[in-house]
Amino acid sequence: MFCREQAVQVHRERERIRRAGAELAFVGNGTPAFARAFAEDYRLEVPLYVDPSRRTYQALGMARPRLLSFLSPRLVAAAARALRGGFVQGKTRGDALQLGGVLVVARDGRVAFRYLSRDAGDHPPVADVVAAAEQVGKAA
Amino acid sequence: MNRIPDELAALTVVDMEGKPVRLGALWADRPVVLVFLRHFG
Repeated sequence: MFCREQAVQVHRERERIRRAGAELAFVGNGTPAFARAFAEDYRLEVPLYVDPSRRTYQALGMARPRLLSFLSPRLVAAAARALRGGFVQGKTRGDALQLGGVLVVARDGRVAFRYLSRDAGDHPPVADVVAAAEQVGKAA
Repeated sequence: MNRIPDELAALTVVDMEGKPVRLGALWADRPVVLVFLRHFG
């Protein structure tokens, strides 16, 4: 559910991100077929990539916690929030334990924004992501 | 990490047609907001 919630929220800001001169792209850890289904389900209009090996996730410092630490009180609160927002967990496609994050990267490879999720319900405020895109887009 | 190291930019992701794409190619033309999802679904 968190994955969809975040994807949909950021996707809503795609035009603002583009107006800032940046692009929005998603990376998932399932297969290309899962990515295509996901893009169709949510009518995503941004590039979508996958990394089934999760090597990019690991290299960027995104954690894959063990199951027990995965079930934190924060997570329960976030689950309740996501459910209220109407996001229901579908069948998991990809590695269910791999955490994600958000990067804003400038053309020269400089990292203007980086957020590594601490658990499954932990995402950066969308406004912070858009602000970083607007800043780096202006500078580019 | 202030700048993505070259060896990290050289890692590949796969596009929806199954073609490998260098991670660094994603910000070569313009800055990118890269959302790493946990999983699909």
